Amino acid sequence: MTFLKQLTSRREFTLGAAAGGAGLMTLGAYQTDASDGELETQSIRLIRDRKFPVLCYAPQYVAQRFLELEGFTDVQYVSLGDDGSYAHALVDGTADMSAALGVDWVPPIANGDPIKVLSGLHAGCVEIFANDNVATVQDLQGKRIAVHGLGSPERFLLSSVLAYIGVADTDVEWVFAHPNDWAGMLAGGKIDAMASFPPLNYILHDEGIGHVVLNTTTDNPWKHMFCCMVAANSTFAQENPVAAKRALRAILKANQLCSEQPEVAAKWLVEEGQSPTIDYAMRTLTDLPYDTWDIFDPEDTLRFYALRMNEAGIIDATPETIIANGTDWGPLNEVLKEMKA
Amino acid sequence: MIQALGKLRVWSVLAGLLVAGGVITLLSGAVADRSGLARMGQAPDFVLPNAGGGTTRLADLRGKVVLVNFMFTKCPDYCPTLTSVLANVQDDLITQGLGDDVYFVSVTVDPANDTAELLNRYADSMYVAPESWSFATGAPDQIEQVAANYGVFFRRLASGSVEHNLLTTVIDRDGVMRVQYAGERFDPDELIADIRNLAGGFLRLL
Repeated sequence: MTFLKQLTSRREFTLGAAAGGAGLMTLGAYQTDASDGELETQSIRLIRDRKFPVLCYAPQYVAQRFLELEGFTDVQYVSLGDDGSYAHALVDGTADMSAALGVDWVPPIANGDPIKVLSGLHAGCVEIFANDNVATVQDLQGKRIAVHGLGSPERFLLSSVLAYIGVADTDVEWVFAHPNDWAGMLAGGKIDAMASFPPLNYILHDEGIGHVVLNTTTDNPWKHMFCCMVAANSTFAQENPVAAKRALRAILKANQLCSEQPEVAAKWLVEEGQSPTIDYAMRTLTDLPYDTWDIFDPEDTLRFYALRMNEAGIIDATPETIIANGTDWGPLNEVLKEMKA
Repeated sequence: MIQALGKLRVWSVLAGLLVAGGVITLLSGAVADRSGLARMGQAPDFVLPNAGGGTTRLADLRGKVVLVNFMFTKCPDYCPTLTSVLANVQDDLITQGLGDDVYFVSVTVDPANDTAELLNRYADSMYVAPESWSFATGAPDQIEQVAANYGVFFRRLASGSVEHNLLTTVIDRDGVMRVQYAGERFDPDELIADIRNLAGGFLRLL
């Protein structure tokens, strides 16, 4: 009897201890699924190109108020360098985080530069305008195309388009000029084609300059992937994981505002001098699918552009290498669990 | 020998408690975590006068899933749309037997104009169930602080209207922020599923 009691007691104790321990482990796991820690820095530098304002990055500009609500007391918008490269501004540490064309992040990542892509922002936004010498994108072969420089975002985008249709980007004539001059050059017959971003798109449309041969908002396959993506300087992201995550959250909240309350966002863009008119801002915000940030897979976009850059001979790295070395989806995955739209 | 048996009984009782506690913790933890939602930190407490003449204190709502959003009664478009969506969510939750487990708090961002009468009229027009929905107001600086704590900015325009973003915060029974729904075009069924998961738990299944 005593033996049985002892046995029962021991069994109960063992079971209780095991279950209790497991319960405590569960409780522990529950508690370590923790909230944000303290911001490692209250300063953040984003990019705003005042020489050639690009409106499709609207969420980045609108994010200022959300960044302040996230605890950033020093939100700076720094200018681009003369080469017009968003990637270079991140790599050289001029800026901590920025949106830019997804394709713009690929070459520096292939080069081993310190950039981590954190999220997609939206699809669409680029239109390729051409004169009457060009009826379709296939006709771009042998034509004169304006770009800021060989390391500029639009050159990488155009090279990826050419690669997609099987045209080597050595088979076109790159004409180097500041983006503010492209429209005049197209109208004056000095170039045959150019890539354009809002609000320049609307100026070209309204003034009847050229015609569109490709629209990444509506044409396959581009409409199914991100155009602009958010990236951070790797050192900033690694040393300030809480700040990186909160900054991304602020930008994505702003993204959602652009999508759902465009008139609010448009007003801010005008007030802050980012859009010359409310009309351009509204057209940008209503034309572009800002509600795709939580729908598309950012890895698909990077894979697509890495393949095209590889085909164009601009990089040697494989898409797997680009994704492995140049992405950090941790902050996005956290935000996706915290914010739904 | 008798003393030894007595100690064993004490150990048995303790072990039984550990077993029960462990199993309940395991099961309730597993069920609660089914939501897959983040734990964004303790929701900042607030104490605000409400349109019913009482006070809405977040801490008093512990044990319920709480939804907090911001609006103003003269808002011509987004606020009534969002409130209507949330009213339908509330209606569905009541139908599903979760009416007592969920509480809604709508905080006005226009406290200067949104009187208790206007807020009550607004609530009536939205067909909300008032027993589990407070429309709260307060001093402007108080509202500004609460809004900031929940990631919402607002500013009064020269036209007299108020500009603000839309963010609905879902807080679990323990007062922890779990998810925020941005805008008013989200899938209400997803919100209902999140609330159901947060309101659920082992004890509710008994």
